[in-house]
Amino acid sequence: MSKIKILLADDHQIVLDGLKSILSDIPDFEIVGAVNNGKDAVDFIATSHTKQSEQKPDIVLMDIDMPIMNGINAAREIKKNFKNVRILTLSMHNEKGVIQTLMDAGADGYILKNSSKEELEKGIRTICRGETFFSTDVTMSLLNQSSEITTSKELPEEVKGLTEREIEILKLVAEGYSNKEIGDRLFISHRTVDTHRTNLMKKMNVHNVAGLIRIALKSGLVE
Amino acid sequence: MRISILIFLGLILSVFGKSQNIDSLERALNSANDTQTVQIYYKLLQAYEYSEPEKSLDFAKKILEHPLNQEPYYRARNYINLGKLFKNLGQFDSAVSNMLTGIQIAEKAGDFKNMAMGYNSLGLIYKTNSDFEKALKYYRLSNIECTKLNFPNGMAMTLNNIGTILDAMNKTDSALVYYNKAAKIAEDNDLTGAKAVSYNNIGEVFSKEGKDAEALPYYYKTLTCDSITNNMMGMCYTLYNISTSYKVLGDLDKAFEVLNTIEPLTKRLNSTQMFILYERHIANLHEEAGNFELAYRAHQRFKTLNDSVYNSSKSEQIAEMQTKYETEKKELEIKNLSQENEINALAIQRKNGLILVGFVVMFLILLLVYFFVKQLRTNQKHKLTEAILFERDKGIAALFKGVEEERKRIAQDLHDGVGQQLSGLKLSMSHLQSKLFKKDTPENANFEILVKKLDTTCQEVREISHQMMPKTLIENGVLSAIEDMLENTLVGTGINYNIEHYKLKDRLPETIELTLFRICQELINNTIKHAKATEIIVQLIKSKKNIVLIVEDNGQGFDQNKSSDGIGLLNLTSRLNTINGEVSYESSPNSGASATVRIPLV
Repeated sequence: MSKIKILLADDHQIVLDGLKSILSDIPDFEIVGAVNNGKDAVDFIATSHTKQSEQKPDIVLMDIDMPIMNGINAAREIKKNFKNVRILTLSMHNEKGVIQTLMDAGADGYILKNSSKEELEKGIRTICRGETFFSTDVTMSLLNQSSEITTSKELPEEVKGLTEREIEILKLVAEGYSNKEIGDRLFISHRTVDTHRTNLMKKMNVHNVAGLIRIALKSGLVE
Repeated sequence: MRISILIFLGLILSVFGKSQNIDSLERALNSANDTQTVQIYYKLLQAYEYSEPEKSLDFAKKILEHPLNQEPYYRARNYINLGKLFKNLGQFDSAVSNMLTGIQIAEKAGDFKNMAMGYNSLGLIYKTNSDFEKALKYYRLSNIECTKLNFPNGMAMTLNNIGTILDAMNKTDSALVYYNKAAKIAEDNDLTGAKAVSYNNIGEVFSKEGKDAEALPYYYKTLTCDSITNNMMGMCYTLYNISTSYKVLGDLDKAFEVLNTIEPLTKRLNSTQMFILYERHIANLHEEAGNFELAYRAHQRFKTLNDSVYNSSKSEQIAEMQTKYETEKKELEIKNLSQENEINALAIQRKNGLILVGFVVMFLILLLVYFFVKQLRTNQKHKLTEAILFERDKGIAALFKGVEEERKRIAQDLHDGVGQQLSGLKLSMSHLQSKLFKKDTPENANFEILVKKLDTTCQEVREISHQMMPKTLIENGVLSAIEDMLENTLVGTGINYNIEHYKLKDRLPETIELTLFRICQELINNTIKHAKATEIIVQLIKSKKNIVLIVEDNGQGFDQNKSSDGIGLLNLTSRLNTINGEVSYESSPNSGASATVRIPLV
C-alpha cells in the first residue's frame, strides 16, 4: 500500500518543524512538502499535478491563519480544481463560526494545533478514508446550532384574535422598545402597556418575552 | 313788483303803529306799566327795524318773552315777526324756523289770521331766496287762509303775490289771471291800496311784453288809486312807468310832460333815491330825443348823486366790513391763540404720551433683552452640556475603540505568536519524548507531565486570545461570535441555551457587532452569576430601523427598584450611548429577567 503523501502549510516554522518531526515517525506517512502560505500550497498542488509526479499530495494539512492566502481561501481553490486532494485544517481556534466557514469552503476536517500525536494521526487517516474529522472539542461545537426565525406564509393562529392596539404593542415590543418608550409613543401609561403585554402573553399562550417576539417575527409584524 | 312788496310790508308793519321818536320812547319805558311796556317795545322794534336790526331783534325777543304775550295769538304773531326780522338780517334758517314755530302755534289755536300772515311771510322768504316753488306753495296757503277768513285785502294781496311768483317764473299769462283776480276782489271790496297794486302789476306785465299801449290805462288807474291814498312814492313810481311807456310808444312829448309832474312830487319826498331815479329818467329821455347835451348833463347829475349815495353806502359798507373784518380778525386771533394753546396742550399731552410710550417700549425692550440673554445663556449652557456630552461620548467611543483595537492586537499576538510557538514547541517535545524515552519509564512519565503542562499553557493562551477578541467575531460576525461565546461559557454550567435570529444574514458595522457581542457577553456572565437560571434565550433581530438583542432567562429575576448597576452594566450603558443604543430590563419572579438592547441602524 502506498504511503499517504502529506503537504504541510503553516506560516510558523516551529509548527512546521514540530509537525514534520511527529508525522515523519509514522511509517506510511510521507511529507511531500512544507509551504508557508495558502498560495504556495495551491501552487504546489497544481505543479505536482502537471508533472504527474510522485509528489502529488493526498492530503493538505493546513493552518487557517496564513499570510498572502489564508487557509479558507486556499481550501476553496484546491477543492475547485483538485477534488481528490483532502484537506485537514489546523487551527488554534475552536470556534463554530470558523469551522462552519471551513466546511463550506470544502475542508474535510478540522484539528486543533495542540492535538496529540495520536489524534493527528487519527485525523489524517480518517480524512484519507473519505470521511470528515473534527477534534473532540470541535465536534461539540457543531451540535448546538442557532435557529433562524422566518416569517410564516400564513398568519399564526395566535395573532388572529388580537386587537389593533395589542398588535401595535406587540410590534413595538419586537422592535425592542421598553414599556415606557411604548407608552410615550402611544400616549398611554407604561402600566397600561404592561397590562397589554400580560394580556398578549395570555392570549398567545407564551410564558416569556422571547416567545412573544417569536410570534411577532413569524407574523411579519417587524419590517 | 318791488313796489308791491314794499307796500305789502308797509301794510303788515302798520299793525305796530307809526314810528315815534326813539329817545322819548326809551324814556317812556322807565315809567311804563306792563301793557305800555309791550307797546313801547313794539314801537322800538319798528324804529330800529332797518337802522339797527340787531336792536330790533332784541326787542322782538323781549316782546316774545313778556308775560303779557303768552297767549297763542300773540306768541304766534311774535314768532312770525321775529322770523321777519331774521329775514331782514339775511339769516334765513332762523327766519324760517321762527316763522314755522309761529305758524304751528297759530295752527294749534285755529288762528287763521296769523296762519295767513305766517304763510305769506314764509312765501316772501322763499321768494327772496328764489325758491319759487316753495314761495308759491306758501302764498297759496296764505290765500286759502285769507279766503276762509273772508279777508278781502289779504285775498287780493296774496293773489298779487302768487302772480308775482308766476311772473318771475315767466308764466306771464297765469300771472295776469291772478292779478286780474286780485284787481276784481279789490274793486268789489273797494280796496284802493290793493287795487293800486293789482293795476300796477297788470301794467308791468304788459310793459314787459312790449304792450305799452295796453299797459298805460292800468298805470293811470294805479295813479288814481295812489293819489286817493296819498301814496306819493307810489305815484312817483307809477308816473315813471307811464313816462317810460310813452317813450317806448315814441310819444316823447307826452313822456316829458309826465316827467314834469314828477319833479314837484320828488322834491316833496326829498329822497335822494327819488332824485337819482328822476335824473336817470331825464337822461334817458333826452338821449332818446337826441338832446345829447341835456342828456349828458342829466347823466352827470345822476352820476354825482348816484356816486354820493353809492359812496356813502359804500363807505358805510366799508366801515361795516372793516369792523366785521377786525372782529373776525380778533376772533381769528383768539381762535388761533386758543388753538395754539390747544396745540400746545396737545403737544404737551403728546409729549407726555410719547415719554410714557418711550418708557413702556424701553421697559419692554429691556425685558426682551433680559429674556433673550437668559434664553441665550440657557441655550449656550444647553449647547455646552450637549457638547460636553458629545465630547464625552466621543471620548468614550474612542476609548472603546482603542481598547478593542488593543485587544484585537494582543489577541492576534497571543494567537499567532505565542500560541503558535507554544503549539510548535509542544509538537516538537512530543516527538522528542518518543525518541528519548522508552514507554513506561519514570523519565518518560516526567516528560509526559512537562508536555501536558505545555499543552495547558497553550490552551490558556488560546483561551485568553479568544476572550480578548474572538476570531469568529472578526471573521464571521456577531451571530457566530455569540453562538461560540454561549457555547464556550455555558459548558458545564448546566444552563441550556437557545439562540434565535431574524433577518441577520448580512454583516453589521463593526462597532455595532463589537458592542452587541460585549453586551451579550456581560449579560450572560451576569445571568450565570446571579440568576440561578436553567435556560437562556438569546434573540438577535434585525428590523429596518433597529438591531435588537434580547437576552432572557428563567431565573429568579431581580428587583427592579434595586438598581445595582455593576461596573459591567455601567460599562455596557456607556458603550451603548456611543452608538445611540438603549437598554431596558424587565423582571418578574415567575418568568425570570429579560434585557432588551436596541441599537438604531443609521
